[in-house]
Amino acid sequence: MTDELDPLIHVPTRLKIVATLAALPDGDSLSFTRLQDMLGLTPGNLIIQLRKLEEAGYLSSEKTRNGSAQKTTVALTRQGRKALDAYTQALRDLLGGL
Amino acid sequence: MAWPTMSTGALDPLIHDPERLRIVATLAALPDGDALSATRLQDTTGLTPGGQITRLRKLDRAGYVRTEKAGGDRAQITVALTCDGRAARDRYTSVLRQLPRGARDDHQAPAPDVRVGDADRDAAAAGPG
Repeated sequence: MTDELDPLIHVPTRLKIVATLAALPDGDSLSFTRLQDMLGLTPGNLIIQLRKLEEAGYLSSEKTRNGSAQKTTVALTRQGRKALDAYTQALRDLLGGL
Repeated sequence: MAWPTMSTGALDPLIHDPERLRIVATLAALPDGDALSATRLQDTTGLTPGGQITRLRKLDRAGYVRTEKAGGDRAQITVALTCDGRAARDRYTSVLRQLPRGARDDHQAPAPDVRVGDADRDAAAAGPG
């Protein structure tokens, strides 16, 4: 029996979020709106999934204020990257290489 | 770095369920046409008999697996992946392959441009001299 597939990452929407953030160069972050555009998610859905991932320590978000406009950026944490690595390894073990 | 081809729905939910994924992956690893006894399958999946039956029924209804009662002293059930099931599994893995590169690459792996450099070096080594 292979390792458990991390249920926090396994949900398709969250898998997309984590994979997209993992594709960024280390230390880079993405704005909320950009992430939303890329994944085609509703703001509400994205917020819920981001909150879950942030509570688990998989990503960090930062709010910046530019005049009246507020901008939120999100980035994968080291822990999140590690969790995704473990997840992909478990999938690879299961499916015989990806 | 947009994600043009992968929608959430593209990951077949019938296969994406972790327990069903385990079943499908185990059966897909068998040579084409081979079947596994339900007991052997259970050893690999680590599911309870009831849990496995529920999942198999769902996969059977979708036409992804075929369950058969084998003869003998003791009624034994064998399970095999159907052609449809194998095709669905192939589709599933190809969707996973569309994940942005960073998600699949080991971070220690050389970046593609490093490989180009290697090729240049190899070419230089094989060059005149």
